Amino acid sequence: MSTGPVQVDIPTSQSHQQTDQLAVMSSPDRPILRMVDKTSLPRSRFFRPVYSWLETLGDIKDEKLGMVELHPDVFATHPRMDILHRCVRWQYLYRKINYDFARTRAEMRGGGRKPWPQKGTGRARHGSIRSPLWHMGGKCHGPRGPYSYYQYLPLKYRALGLKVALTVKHSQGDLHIVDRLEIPTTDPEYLEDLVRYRNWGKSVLLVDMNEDIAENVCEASAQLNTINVMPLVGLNVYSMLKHDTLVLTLPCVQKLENKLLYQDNRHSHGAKGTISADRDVFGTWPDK
Amino acid sequence: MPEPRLLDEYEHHDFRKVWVRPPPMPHKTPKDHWTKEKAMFGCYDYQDILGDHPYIHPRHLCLEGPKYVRGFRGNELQRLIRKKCMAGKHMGEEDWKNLQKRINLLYRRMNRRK
Repeated sequence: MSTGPVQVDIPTSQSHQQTDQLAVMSSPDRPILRMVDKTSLPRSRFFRPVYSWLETLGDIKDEKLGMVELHPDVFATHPRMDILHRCVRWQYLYRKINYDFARTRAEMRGGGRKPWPQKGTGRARHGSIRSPLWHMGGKCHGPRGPYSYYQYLPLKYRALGLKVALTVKHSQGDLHIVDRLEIPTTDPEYLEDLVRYRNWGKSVLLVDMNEDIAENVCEASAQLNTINVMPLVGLNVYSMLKHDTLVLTLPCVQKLENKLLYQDNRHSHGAKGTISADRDVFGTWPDK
Repeated sequence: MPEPRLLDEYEHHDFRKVWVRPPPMPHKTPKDHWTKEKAMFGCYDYQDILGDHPYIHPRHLCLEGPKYVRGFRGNELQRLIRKKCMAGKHMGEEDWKNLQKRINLLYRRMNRRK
């Protein structure tokens, strides 16, 4: 390996799929420049890889552990604002249900009797007290029943939305990559100080690989409203845009690239006979 | 209601003291945009992309509301027919009667020559 302050760590062909954090943590005194080889992954032409610092939450001081290479198709795509808007609107609407309801004249009680005779009273002719003309009458063309605003956004559009959101975060300097979500104390003031010292803004979204997140971070962020922890499965466009800063762990980056590049390069999704998420089959048998 | 306060701009003119009240404003309660639900809104929406089970349809993530409108978008007649199929057995007499009346009305209206 090279001498000097920066040690270049080129992983072997076995370990380039899963990044080993232990190699990073073994020598915290000396920063390591990680050059992860991503030539085996598919990528489009005309795009250069982008880089990001590898940071740590273990100390308030902003010490860089090394550098991470990010895939250009995930972290440097075109900033498509229309895709972001469609994704956020889809997230708002697809499970929203409107409960507004107004009864018609048929559903209200009474109103079967003619209130006064047709002729001879000098009053206007009426046939029912529940007519929509009447006060306390039925409503015509009113809101009817619970209805949902369900809509479907194709899988590739949603994957593209994730990529665009990651791109926007990275290009604005709001994406930070840390080695692991471990802080020394359960004190929420530690997290607050760290966020204030590093100018991470008002709200931070911490994303870990699995749902077994370190307890210190969980307890500290549970007492803070604007600092939230999420597993990678729960990552979404709305939360990324709602929070000022996005913090990913190193294995998260690897998995995100794998998952999102799969959507880029897949030919078809799902085996035949399975219910694919993109084939909207409802109440029908797909394999027939 | 804000307290009326003494306007002391004219403190050198004792005769010009006026009691003023700020103009009426619409009463607004400040909203908390970082409650637990709002901060976690949209979590797991993309789990068919990021998770390990690729065949979870977002329709099956709609867990709120009556079952006959979850993940379904249609006009009133379609919704009522679904309601009749899925909840008709458990409805009371009056609800069932109103449902039938409404379905018949909408069915006639749909098939009317325009």
